Amino acid sequence: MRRLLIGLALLTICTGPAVSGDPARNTEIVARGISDYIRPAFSRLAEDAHALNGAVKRFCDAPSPDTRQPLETAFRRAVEGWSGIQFLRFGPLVDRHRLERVAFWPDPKGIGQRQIRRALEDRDPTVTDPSQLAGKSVALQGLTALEYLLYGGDGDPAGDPGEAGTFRCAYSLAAARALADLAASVSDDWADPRGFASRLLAPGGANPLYRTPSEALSELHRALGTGLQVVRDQKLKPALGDDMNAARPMGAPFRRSGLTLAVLSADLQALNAFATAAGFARALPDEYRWIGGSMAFEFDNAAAAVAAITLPIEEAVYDQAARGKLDYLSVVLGHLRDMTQQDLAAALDLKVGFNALDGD
Amino acid sequence: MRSTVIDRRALLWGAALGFGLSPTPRLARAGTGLLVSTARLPDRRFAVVGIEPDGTVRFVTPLPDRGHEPVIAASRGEVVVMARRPGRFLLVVDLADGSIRRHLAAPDGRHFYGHAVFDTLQRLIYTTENDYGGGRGVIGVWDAADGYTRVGEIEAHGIGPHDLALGPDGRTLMIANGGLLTHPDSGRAKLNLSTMEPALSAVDAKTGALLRRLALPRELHQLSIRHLAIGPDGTTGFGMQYEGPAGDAVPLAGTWAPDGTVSLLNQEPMAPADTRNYVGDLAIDATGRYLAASFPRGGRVGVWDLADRRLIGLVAAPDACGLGNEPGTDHLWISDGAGAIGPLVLTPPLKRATISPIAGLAFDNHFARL
Repeated sequence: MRRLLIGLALLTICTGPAVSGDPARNTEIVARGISDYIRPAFSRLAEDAHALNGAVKRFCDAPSPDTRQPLETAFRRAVEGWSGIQFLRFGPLVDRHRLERVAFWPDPKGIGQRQIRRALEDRDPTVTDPSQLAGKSVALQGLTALEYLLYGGDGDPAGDPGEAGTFRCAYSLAAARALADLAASVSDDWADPRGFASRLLAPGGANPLYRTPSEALSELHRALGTGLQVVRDQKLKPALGDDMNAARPMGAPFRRSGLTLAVLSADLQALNAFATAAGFARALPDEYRWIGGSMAFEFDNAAAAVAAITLPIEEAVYDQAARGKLDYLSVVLGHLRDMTQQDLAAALDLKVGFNALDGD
Repeated sequence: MRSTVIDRRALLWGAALGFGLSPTPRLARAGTGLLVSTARLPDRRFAVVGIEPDGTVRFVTPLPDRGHEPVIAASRGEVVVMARRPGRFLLVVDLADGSIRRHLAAPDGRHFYGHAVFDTLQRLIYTTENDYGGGRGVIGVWDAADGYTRVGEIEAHGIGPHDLALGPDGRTLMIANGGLLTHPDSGRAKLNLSTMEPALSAVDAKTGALLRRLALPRELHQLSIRHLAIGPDGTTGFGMQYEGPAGDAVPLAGTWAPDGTVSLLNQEPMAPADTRNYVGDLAIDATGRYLAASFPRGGRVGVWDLADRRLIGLVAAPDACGLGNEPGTDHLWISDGAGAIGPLVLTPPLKRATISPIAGLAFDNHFARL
């Protein structure tokens, strides 16, 4: 028994901490990621949400095609803004369920629709007050609730006659206002020089969250990998299914407003922009130099595949040619994820945990 | 190599004594000391693997999807592999060669949470399940001796039961009710973070009656009780995951003594960066003196001396999750996502000895040993 253990001990003994790469380079990537991508992206969402709030108000004040068109444009921009930040699932965005309050998705059971319908039927006064709404179910808030209110099949704020339309408008306004406040507060938290960003930027023994530059870099790197996985495994594959019979396009993100492909496109753009701005692959050892170019190439391929689809998602998944593009997109996304989680992680001396990634 | 053979025989004998069993031919053939773990293979398929303590691979059996806890029934010569939340498979695998004896599924309206435990006779197996229509946790009861027929269901007395363990009386089921409401259609999303009520329930396995219930104070309600380990004296160790803000310093492990005394373990000098407020697995060594908790997100394993309740070591163990003890010794075994497994020798400074039986394999959250 004892001899066996000694034998094992001779094979490997791990005592010290993991190798942590080049600390100065790691901190530079984190700093660029924050200043050149994360802060601008949250600031953009805050602006877009503010603009959406104004557009909802103008539309509700005077419903007409002249106010509806700017509303739809503003909604689209806010949804694209969500794509820009939804993969940054750490720090301010995951505090107090803000991620889910910005958009409650996926929602395959239609919890949102059920709760919103009930609130509309009951004329629940609390949903027309932005501050009360912010404390209610996440499914009643954010972009997903606004989508139902503005694009829902059972009416729109302008179309419903009389009191129903008035109430729906009041709810839409409260949701837009609460979203604008929420987006502004997440953006403020990221902008705060003494806030969460300072922990990422100054890792060390006294830092309760990040001990080393490598741990801080891991947080950003994980966001990129997770983001790629979410696009492929949550947004694309369930809608696409293994074949046409298994396609389930109705649960695709922002399908009701016809923005699913815009979401996929904005996701790809956001992840590419984040990777480029942070410069994960900018200063790698010679043997890993290829990663930057390969990832850029695959991001271009993915973007081209999405751009080639002109049908809305609920038709695209039943169209042979469009399915081909989406299948290809799935392969490219898988490749990008593998490059990120394997090659890029190795190049940056990061350990990508299997158990750490998504345990139970 | 010769020494390995001798050692394996010694290990077999020691393990048999530790379990109070005599080594039957069946057991000897299956190889006592065998480590059985869920894993991800180099080609990214999920599997259950059987590894001899010397690193020899006994079997590699692919699973329909990602697995969670393997539960060994030595007297039956088999291991039950549970699907990971929110999966539905329950696979019965032959310990001798890894062949699949049975492939069962959770009943309609239920999915598994990933953990199970056999009764003392290894006849009934209890599985943690989600009655997602009813939004409540249940414990499924299956009769292994009758082809794993579903024979009943008892209340978990809480939401989101995860791990469970059988007390030394052979009758009390300890159930870690994480308190998190989920639904399979929402994947792994947690639906009730602001109202969660985690609890540890002691339930009579025969009648389903709630015997005792340990609930955390209101200010700790976002601590989800997930994993359990029972010591030889009946002490229940429990490990938790925190759903609140990442920088909060909160207790992550505690013990519930047979006399009812509950205490949370002091974590000085650990910080949230070490633990990421997330315990992946828990083990108490065979002597009952040491408790280990793994922090896969922090890349560390902490060990406490239960005699004076002091943290005696924090070992760097990147992506390590699975923990287990070794019969007859105070060694605690650790498995990790880089495919390494081996004992932690508790003489200071704490050292991890590891073997990596299959290149490119990742051990999943939990393992069991024969």
